[in-house]
Amino acid sequence: MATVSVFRFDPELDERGYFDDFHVPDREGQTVLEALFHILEHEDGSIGFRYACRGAVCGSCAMHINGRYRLSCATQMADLGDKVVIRPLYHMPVIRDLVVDMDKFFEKYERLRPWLVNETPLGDKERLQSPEDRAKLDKLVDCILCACCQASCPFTQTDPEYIGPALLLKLDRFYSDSRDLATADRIEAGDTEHGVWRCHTAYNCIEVCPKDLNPTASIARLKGAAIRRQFTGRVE
Amino acid sequence: MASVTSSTPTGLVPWLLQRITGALLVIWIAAHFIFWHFDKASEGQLDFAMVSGTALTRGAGGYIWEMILAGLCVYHGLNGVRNIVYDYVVDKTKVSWLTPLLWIVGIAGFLLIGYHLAQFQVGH
Ligand code: SF4
Ligand code: SF4
Ligand code: FES
Repeated sequence: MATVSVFRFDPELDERGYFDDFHVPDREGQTVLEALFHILEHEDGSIGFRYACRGAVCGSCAMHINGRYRLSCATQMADLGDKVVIRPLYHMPVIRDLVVDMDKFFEKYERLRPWLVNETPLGDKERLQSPEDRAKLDKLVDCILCACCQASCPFTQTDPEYIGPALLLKLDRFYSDSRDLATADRIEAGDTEHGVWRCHTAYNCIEVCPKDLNPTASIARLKGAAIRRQFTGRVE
Repeated sequence: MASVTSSTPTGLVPWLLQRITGALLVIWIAAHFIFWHFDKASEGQLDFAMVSGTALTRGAGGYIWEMILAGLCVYHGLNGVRNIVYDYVVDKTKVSWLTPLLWIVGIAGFLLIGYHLAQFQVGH
């Protein structure tokens, strides 16, 4: 039996958040998301949390679990001990319980134009890319926008307009794509006071990413591109 | 592919100079420690009289060397202050006065250090 402390907050009823303790029976292979379902079905039907795929693909179930940002659907209860403390992602307003408001995150994402920009005629086939160029995107396309890294970064707290590690990694995903022709715009989008220069290379983002991605390396790549562009005029 | 350069401040130059001055400071401070705190300190009491009377601070080369150290410290320190403020203030236009102010403080501080070090040249 594990004691699960869940952060509770209902803006219509509560002035501030608090924790409710629930007791969840052990079950082999049980994930934190399943433990939350157990609570929802057997103890408290009002508890709020997000999920969709249950397979570590959609990124909706990210939470702060026992001191670390994790995907609740991919975290085994057995790995956490008898006491499990679950909080919502930090640095984003709480809508209710474990559900945070991600509007701002997705607004910033949209501003980066997260799609291939290429106006040249397509021809009768898809746009081709060499295996070497495709390999540059191998890790970058794995980001599921769970926002664990975004919540872990100290500078998304001090500057809520900071683009943040998740979205800078996404920016790099298009910057590094040989089929994308908006290279100058991509570099410029990162080269702002709310962009790559706010990163202090604290590495929190790498530590927490459930997909083992490296936003800091993406940020370093974008910084290099901005410096080259500034001093040599080269856009590459 | 298009070549673009922007003249709008984006944070790039302060970021880059912070790294460059940081790297140079490692060299300058190491040399400073080796010379003053290990080498000279072993010769006797390391105090104001000794520093002002030492050839390093009295020759033109030594003066330039110490002034480079002063410049690096002043720039690196004040640029760090700017960085901290920019980390915390969301609307950067609200602190547009900060960079000119820090330049004034920095130049004044640098000149003051230069003036006092120059006193060593005349044998105080
Ligand atoms: S490396 Fe940069 S983006 Fe990542 S957590 Fe640290 S400051 Fe934030
Ligand atoms: S980089 Fe990793 S932690 Fe950040 S949003 Fe993408 S998958 Fe999540
Ligand atoms: S529910 Fe989709 S990642 Fe966990």
